[in-house]
Amino acid sequence: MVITGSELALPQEVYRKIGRYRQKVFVETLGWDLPIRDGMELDQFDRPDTLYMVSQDDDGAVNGCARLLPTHRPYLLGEVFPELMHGQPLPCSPDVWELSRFAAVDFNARGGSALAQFSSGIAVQLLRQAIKCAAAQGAKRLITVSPIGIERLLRHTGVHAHRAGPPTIVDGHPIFACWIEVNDAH
Amino acid sequence: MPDTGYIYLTVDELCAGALVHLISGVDAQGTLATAPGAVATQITGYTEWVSAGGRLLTIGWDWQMTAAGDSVHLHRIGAPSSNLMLQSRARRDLGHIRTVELLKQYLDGFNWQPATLGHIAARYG
Repeated sequence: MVITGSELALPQEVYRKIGRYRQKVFVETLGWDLPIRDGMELDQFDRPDTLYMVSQDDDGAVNGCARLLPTHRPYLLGEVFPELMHGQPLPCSPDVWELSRFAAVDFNARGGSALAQFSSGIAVQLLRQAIKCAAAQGAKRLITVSPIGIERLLRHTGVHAHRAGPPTIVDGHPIFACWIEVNDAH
Repeated sequence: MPDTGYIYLTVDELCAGALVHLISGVDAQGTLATAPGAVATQITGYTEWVSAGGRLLTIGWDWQMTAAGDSVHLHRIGAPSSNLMLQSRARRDLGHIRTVELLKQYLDGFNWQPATLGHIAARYG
């Protein structure tokens, strides 16, 4: 089941579980150098206006999450990875939202790999929910900073997406900015 | 470039340009498939290419490696990803689906395998 909401709208325990899940996925598993607060991975973009999608299994364990930010306020691509736009103007509009911290790793799944960040049915469900949620906020397009592996998920989901520019190699892995059309998918 | 984020080219312009290898990799969960009696091993990965000129065209696609004896081959699998929108000679957009189909044809006539194999060998060898 995927639930959506801001920090204030989500039950406090669910918000804490998102932070702990992100710590486990992005810091512990993927080795990203991110700030940790009380065992939770939270950064400057986790604000009152940030929207979260969280998927939980039948036992209430988080097995997927994502975050949406409007681009007319500070967001990850604009503040941290502007070079991924390769000189093109950074999106800055209430029509364009950013999808970030997308993960669908089911740590309780038997036989699954903890590195399968984009490969599960949970990922598809989460992506569809994120697009639906963005559309409800008036978004026409999403932009996301991601490893190139997300393109396989986007193709699998049938979402119309294209690159905003060439990948940049970070720690040996290509990451890039990607446009996702909300209207075509919704 | 308009804020669609696309690079707009005709097929002729695409063919006249040159692509430069950026990076290739083997999938962390690459499949290793051997049917009973077969000698072929299959590994999958990705390869990334960019335009040699000033316009930042990016194209990436997945590949599958097959090996039989001493011979290794790479084959494109699936659709390529890019920031390209192909246009007719009259400068009308051909659309996403047609662009992907034409890009597949272009890539299948493009000798990308040696650079990709060389990079893979250097990176993982």
